[in-house]
Amino acid sequence: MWLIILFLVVGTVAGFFLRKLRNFSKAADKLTTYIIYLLLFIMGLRVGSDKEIMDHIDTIGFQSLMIALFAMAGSVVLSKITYHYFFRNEK
Amino acid sequence: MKNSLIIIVFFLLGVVTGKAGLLPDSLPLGTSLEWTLLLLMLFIGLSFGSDPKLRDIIRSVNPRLLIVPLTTIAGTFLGIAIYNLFFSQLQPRDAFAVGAGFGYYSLSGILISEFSGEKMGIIALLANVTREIITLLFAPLIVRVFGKTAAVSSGGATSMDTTLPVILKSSGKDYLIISLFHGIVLTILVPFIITLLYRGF
Repeated sequence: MWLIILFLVVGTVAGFFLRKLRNFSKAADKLTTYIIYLLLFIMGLRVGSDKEIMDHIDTIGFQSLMIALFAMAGSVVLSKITYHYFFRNEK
Repeated sequence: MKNSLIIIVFFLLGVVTGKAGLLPDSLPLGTSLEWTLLLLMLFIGLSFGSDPKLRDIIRSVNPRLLIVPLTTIAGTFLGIAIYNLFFSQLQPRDAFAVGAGFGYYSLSGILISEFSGEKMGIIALLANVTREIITLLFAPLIVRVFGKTAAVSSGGATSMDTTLPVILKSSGKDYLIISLFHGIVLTILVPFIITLLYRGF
């Protein structure tokens, strides 16, 4: 699955060399969005047809909320510390 | 840009269609996801490499700017380690991978469902949507309590686009470069960290 990273890197390098083409960046952006729509739709299909997931969607939702809250809490608490040491006295 | 409500609409359409059993069982969903995923990575790269704004920001890099994304990464993993240690029985790599979405819910949901299955995929999607929504709603409060870089950290990868306006409103316009740079760094790191967690070096 490192193939994923390979494709990402190849895309980035190719994008850099093709950047001068007219509207290239915009077109690539648009296509990216369409592929994301398609993939999220397919993901929805698999989730929707998975009875195990649909039956436990409340626990899954709660777990997701908790992970988000803890991840954010960790981020903002550490931010307070690094802000104090590196950014507070600015300007 | 990378996160929009339309994405969620497509996901929900898929859920409803799948739940209603409207599709034949023979549909090769597994394989179709795999090559579309590679196509997606190629196109994310193409838009990234060709975007003039992003290159300008990356050129303006200095070591001090890196402090904020590093803080976000360390803080996110610290919070998740605590959660997973005391409150959940998730595989550590699953829990960290969900956190490593840093709010980039479309890509993290897709990648993690590919690596670890639908259940973790939907957790990644929901947890990272939540991260974005809470930042949108509470950025002013977060700045008041935790300081001006906290809203940037809280927004994660979305600090370069979807949550940027609310961050600038709460932290001030001086935080434009910090917020853009932070979002770009984390956006790049999302696929790397998630792949690393599931596949190792």
